[in-house]
Amino acid sequence: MPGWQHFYETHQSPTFKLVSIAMEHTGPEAARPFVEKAGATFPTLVDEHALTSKHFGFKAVPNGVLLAGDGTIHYAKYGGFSINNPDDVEAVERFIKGEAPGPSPSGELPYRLGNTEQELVETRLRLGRLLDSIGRRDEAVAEWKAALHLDPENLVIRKQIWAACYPEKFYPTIDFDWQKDQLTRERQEEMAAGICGPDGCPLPRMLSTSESRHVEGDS
Amino acid sequence: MVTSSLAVGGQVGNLVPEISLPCLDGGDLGLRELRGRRVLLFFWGSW
Repeated sequence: MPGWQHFYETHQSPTFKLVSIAMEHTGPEAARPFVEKAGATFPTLVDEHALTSKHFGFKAVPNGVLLAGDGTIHYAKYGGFSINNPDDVEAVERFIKGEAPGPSPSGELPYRLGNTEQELVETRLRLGRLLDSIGRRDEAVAEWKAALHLDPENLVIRKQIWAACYPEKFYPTIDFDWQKDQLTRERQEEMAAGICGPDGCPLPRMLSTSESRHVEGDS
Repeated sequence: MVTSSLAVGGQVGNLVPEISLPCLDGGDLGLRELRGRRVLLFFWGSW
């Protein structure tokens, strides 16, 4: 966030705008300290219900998407988009100058949920948010986990459950080694529970439409 | 502006989805209201 603020300050132009979108199941207050600490002067939108995740088609952040003046997408990088990656920064700089940003990395998803599952995921995220807002955190987490088990590769959901249940692993600093171990533990539990198989998640039978496309590897 | 022939989605060549979200500073902002300028949408999480 501080890095993008610096970028914004040094690339001021009447024809360029930066908008940040914070994915926060627990509401805007989770994002606010980071925005304030960075002194961000660009707008930050808060996505409490993973709407953008659904409509843009991503299951992880950080992401960068470049829009032209007519609202069309000219570049999209889902996962790992960073101010510290010169390729990412250069793509944005080229675009600001009116040039083509360059090729986008593959945005292929491991699977697509059917409409019914997608609706269920959204409903459970909303219900969890509501329960959390009235202090019923345990029940909220149960709803978020139910949403995750419908969409097990969705790191936007999984990591927010972690942040709610294990805040000490996220604040003041993020413990990435713990995340790796926790993911391994949860994957084992999900395999034991029949949510995931050895080839990935979710099992094809859990998708109401046969659009599942499993890809090699697992990030 | 007529752009209805374009697919809506998150891939290159798509028209940006028509989503309106609350701003941290108050009010709402629709992604299609950003038209007329080149825009970087940066998605992140505090977690």
